[in-house]
Amino acid sequence: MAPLLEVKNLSIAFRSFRGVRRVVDGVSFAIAPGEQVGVVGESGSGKSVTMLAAMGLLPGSAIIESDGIVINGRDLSKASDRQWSAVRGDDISMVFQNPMTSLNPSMRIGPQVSESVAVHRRGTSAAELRKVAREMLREVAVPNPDLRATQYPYEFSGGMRQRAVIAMALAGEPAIVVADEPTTALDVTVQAQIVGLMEDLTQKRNLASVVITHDLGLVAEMVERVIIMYAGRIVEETPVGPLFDRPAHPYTRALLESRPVTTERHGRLNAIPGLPPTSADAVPGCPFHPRCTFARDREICRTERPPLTRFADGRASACHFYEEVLAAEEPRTGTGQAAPTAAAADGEVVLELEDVSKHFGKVKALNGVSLAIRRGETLGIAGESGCGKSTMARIAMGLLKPTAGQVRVNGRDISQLRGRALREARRDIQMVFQDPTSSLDRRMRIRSIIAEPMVIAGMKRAAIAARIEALMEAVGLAPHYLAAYPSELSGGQRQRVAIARALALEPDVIVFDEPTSALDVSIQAQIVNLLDDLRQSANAGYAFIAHDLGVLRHVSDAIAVMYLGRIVETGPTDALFCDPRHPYTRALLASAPVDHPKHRRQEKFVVEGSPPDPANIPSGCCFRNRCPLARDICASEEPPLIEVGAAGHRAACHFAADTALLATLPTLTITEQ
Amino acid sequence: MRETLAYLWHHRTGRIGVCLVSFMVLVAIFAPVIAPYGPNEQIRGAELMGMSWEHPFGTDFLGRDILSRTIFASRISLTAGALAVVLGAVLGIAMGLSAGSLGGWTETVMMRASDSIMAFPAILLGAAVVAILGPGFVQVAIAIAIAQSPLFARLTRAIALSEARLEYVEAAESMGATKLRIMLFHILPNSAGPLIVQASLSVGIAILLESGLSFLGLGVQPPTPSWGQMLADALRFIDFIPSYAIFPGIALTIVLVGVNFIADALRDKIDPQSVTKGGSN
Amino acid sequence: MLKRLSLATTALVALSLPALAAGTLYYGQTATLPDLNPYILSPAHQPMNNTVFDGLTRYDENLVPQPRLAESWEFSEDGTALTLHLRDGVKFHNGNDFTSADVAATVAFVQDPSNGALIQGFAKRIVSVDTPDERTAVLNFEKPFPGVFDLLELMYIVDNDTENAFATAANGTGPFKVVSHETGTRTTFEANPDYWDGAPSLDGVEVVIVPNQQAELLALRSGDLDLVTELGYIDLVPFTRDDRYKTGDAASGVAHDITMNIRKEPLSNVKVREAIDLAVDRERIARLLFGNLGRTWCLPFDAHSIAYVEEKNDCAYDLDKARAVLESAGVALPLDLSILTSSEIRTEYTTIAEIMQADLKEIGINLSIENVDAVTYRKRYIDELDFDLVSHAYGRAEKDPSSLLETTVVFKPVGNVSGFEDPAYTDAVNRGGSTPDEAERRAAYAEASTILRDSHHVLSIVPRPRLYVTTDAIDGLELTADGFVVLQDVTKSE
Repeated sequence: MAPLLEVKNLSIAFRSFRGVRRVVDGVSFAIAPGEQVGVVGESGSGKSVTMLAAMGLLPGSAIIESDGIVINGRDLSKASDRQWSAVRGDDISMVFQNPMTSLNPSMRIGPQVSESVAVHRRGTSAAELRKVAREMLREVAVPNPDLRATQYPYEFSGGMRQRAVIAMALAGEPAIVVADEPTTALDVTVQAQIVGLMEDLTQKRNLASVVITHDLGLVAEMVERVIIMYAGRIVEETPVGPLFDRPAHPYTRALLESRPVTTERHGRLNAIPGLPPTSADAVPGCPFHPRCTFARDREICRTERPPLTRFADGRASACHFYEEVLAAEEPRTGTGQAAPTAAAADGEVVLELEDVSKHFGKVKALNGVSLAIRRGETLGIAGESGCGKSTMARIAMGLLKPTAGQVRVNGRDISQLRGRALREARRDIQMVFQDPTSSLDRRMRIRSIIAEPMVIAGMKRAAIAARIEALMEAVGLAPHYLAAYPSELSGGQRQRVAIARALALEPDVIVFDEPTSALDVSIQAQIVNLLDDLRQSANAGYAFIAHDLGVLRHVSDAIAVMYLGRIVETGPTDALFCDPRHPYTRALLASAPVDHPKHRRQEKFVVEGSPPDPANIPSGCCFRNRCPLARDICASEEPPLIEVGAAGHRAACHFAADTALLATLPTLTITEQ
Repeated sequence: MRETLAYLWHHRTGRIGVCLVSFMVLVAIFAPVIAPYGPNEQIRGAELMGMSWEHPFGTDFLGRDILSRTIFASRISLTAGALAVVLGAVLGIAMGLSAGSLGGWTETVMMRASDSIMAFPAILLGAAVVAILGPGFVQVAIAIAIAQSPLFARLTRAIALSEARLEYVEAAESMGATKLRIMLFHILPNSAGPLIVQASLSVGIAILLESGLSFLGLGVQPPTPSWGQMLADALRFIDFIPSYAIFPGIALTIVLVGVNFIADALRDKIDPQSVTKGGSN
Repeated sequence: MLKRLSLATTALVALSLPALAAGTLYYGQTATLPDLNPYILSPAHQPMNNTVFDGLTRYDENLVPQPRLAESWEFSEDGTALTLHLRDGVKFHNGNDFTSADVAATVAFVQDPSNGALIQGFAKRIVSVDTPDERTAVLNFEKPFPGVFDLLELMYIVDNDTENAFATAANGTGPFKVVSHETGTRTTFEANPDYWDGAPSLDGVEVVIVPNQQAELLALRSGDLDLVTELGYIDLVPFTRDDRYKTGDAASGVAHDITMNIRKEPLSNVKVREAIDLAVDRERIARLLFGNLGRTWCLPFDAHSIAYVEEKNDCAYDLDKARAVLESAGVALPLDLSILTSSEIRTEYTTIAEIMQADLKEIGINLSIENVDAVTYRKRYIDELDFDLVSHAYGRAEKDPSSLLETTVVFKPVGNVSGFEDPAYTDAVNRGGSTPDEAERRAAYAEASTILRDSHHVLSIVPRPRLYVTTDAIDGLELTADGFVVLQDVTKSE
């Protein structure tokens, strides 16, 4: 069968006032009708640019060379904008990453969904367009499509918007849809819904899809064939099954080994050393050789660019030594070194929240949260957007005042402090923010950034200089970076700087707010390992906020699951992961992407809907309107956080003790270690 | 700074702007050397003459050489423009920073104050300030500074608000930094880019305003020439000697075009749109 | 672009004007005519005064009073009473007869401070009015009042049976009657066919307010206006070169001066003042300000005034002499002085200051110019006496010397702004103003003029001409000694 989309020998470069930078080099691939393909790579790998070029969406500053971009038999490599417009939306369409920005905020949903029909089939009557919009919304399972079609994007939740975006992409009945990180901006439970929806739609419509992603879990979940890109080239192409068992390229293998997974708990992650190159031409020879464990000192890897070699079984690898890679044993996460454990459960309590609430007007962001962190202990905090985890972090930091309750750092209630006393108390608790790009002042040199807390604290110059040296070493940064600006550092290096700054005053508590989620997979592992080291050496208590259950499982001694400003379940990490007692925890675990495609068809419980508005919390149990187990009692009585099972394992569900009932909500099978 | 200059030099219109502005600045600096006559030298019997070899731009109603006066006027007009913008920027940035980072009643007071300044036409505001402080060069610069300050205040506040949302501000706060430190060490340096663009636009507006106020007799005191005052005089004599108005007008145009080219170029530099154009995915 | 703009402005003005009616004079002015009060005497009121009203007498060009509503008059022996024989058969516009009662009523009206007449102070020299019959009125004074014709010229006669509010109506005896008055827009007059001096040849007069001078001049060029006055010299010049227009000038009663504050060092030194006087280039100032219409004054009087003394009109621009005088003054040079001016009041104030600045620099005086707004100017000049030199202009020039010397802030013998006091000057001014005998008056005013010239504390420089332009269709325009238009004999040809 002729491919729907075929890209032949595509190269892309960008012109800027610093010169010309090549980002894609000689990429060829084909997508057959009805095929599900994943394009995987880290940022800068050229995966998005490649697909944008395949849709004619690159700006004028891009220099595109190819032997053909063929869609439905038509070569569009020399096409004008007008010709591209005729193809886009009709033959090929795109689902963008962020549904918040890919919908026009001032246009009703209905007309946006039917727009491609209006454009490609001129003369379609208004009534017909409305019908198309309604039917598309129904197809993507937007409830009450008649009403929804007349609403504006702001009236839609994130998940509903992404459904609308998908409806929009499919309204023109394209044969192929390109989805660029379609679930990255969504909450875990919503991600699972969208993945399910896309699977249904591609099957029902015999639709080909290309999913651009950095997430191997999504690949394991959704696609049949995978294209792995690195430094602007395809390094491996393979059906999804063998990828996870027998990767054919060292980079793929390293990616698989470096990710923390939900189902198992290992010691140190196998981080990939170094950084990905900044352009397709930056590294001579094999672009991966400086980070490759197979390359060792082999001359050919340094000098000769490996071609993409195709095997008989349809796989391909761009490695000089793919046979060696294929022959290696099954990739495994973790090195088998000792896992960090809750060694210091007897340390004194350094951070304690007691019945803390925070209301912003009608919005009840936090409702009676109590928790305690001991010195040496790491508490992982899991939850979706709007669950109050960031509000809680800011209250713990003294950046926000609680509406009610007490926040004690080292036994001192900081919620009552003001002015100078508060500023001084804040030094005992430091935070590492999600995005180091925004948490570091871009106008300051690294030296000043790390020095700042010490300067504020009034430390002596010499002492500061000595401490900076020690901190740089602790976070694994070469001293020459001290004179650099944040923009000259990679994301991972910036996060190291942020960590060094948080450590500077030797705080008693460090709050990590999603410290790895803005980082690429290979870098994430480096940071997680760094944090592991710190937790061994620095004598503080840690709060670790994350939505990635794999990372949480890896780093936490204990976990607290939050929903709508409450802790619904908390307990030792293994107890909570292996024996979840709250339906919401079960839903979270069930929603996490699988580690391996072999788990794909496992029966799982996907929770409906998205968390309600914190301004309008349901009575009784806050989860009841999404919970399949809900009874009358759930509406009338708020379940208390009660002890279940293992020591310290508590859940706020009326049925927390009823394991048989809970078992009707199938979740991820996790083995205790 | 060096980087900015290099950027301007490589920007097509930015380079023209730099050339035009530096030309006028050099003219101002070397005015006594370049000008064939003193700015206030009245040449008896040579009043209101057209263009000639002795007086390439002609003479005014008191027999003063218009070329020389145009050259000397550049000193007043450029200094008034620069002084007004510096004062206006300092005032506006102080207002905007305190409003943006302190919030609460400070913000209300500051922003209502800047709104009320905005409500007055700049010329009227200038006239009011001059009515209180009397006419004169510095007074006019102050008047223009006040009239310009809301532009800076609003811009600074907007940037401060968006910057304050960034985590590095929270990070600084969590280190125990005071509001003042955060304002001066973090938010202000990060606001510099758009503020420089605003300032370069404001220089042009300030020179025009100085001209307008001088035109109304509120600006520099006679016989000190400024372009605006010369234009005001010229209007009365336009029937006799059209070149009277042309040359101060051309000088004013050179500076305004130059400054606007520079502002446009700086905006191109700062505008993230133009940066991402050359970026990758 | 400029051309298109002009056309657009013309079109706008044209829209606001009615079609030209033959025989109607369209009179343009920039200032709003606020009401029809003949006693305000502002430049804005001048097209109305001699149009709607008459005075008892009016000066001719030689400042000799001529009959108007008074046919003849005589002073009593001692000069303290003036008997006026009033014209017979004169009717107000409302049909009432003009009688001596109306003269008495007019005097009472202008003497009442609440009516705000500009001549109120001067009119107070009339202590009573006798009306022995309808055709005779006798004005009684405490002392002889030879300058009374200045007063009579401006004391427009109003009807004693009409409530004289002047807001939108006025009842006079003049050649034109008020038809309508819209403040800020237009005022319409029609010919008074029963006018005692013969019906005017115009059908009517329309005063049109065009607030912008450029627009006003464009309206004149486009034929929408027939007559424009109150022009600057610069505005007048283009019309002098154009046959389709007639330009003219008349006395305005205003003259530029430099007033010095002799309370202050070094201006208390008469040598310094003399040096400054010698450095004032009156010829150049007159030429630069008013072109070939410019005249120079050393004395505050024109040649036909009884106070004019030929040999004292002796000022000369002589920088060498000025330098020598200054060196002999015994002051340390260079001197630093300032001159107060206000471009807001008159740009010419500042021009004069700039010219003086250049000349004084030559003799070793650094003159700094303080250009302030009108309010500050008056405050510093009149109230606070905070100045060295002032560029200024005085009114009431070019008529009888008495009102000028007795009442203006620069010349009044006591309490003038210069701080000048001299019993001989006071005596001379008082004698000149209260002696009926002309020879005696001439002698007294010659003394006063000599003292003024020798003291150099007020330097008269140039009289201001009142400038006007008409189209060439207009003939017969006259102006009074105050520069007020007289439209009675104006004709407009097709």
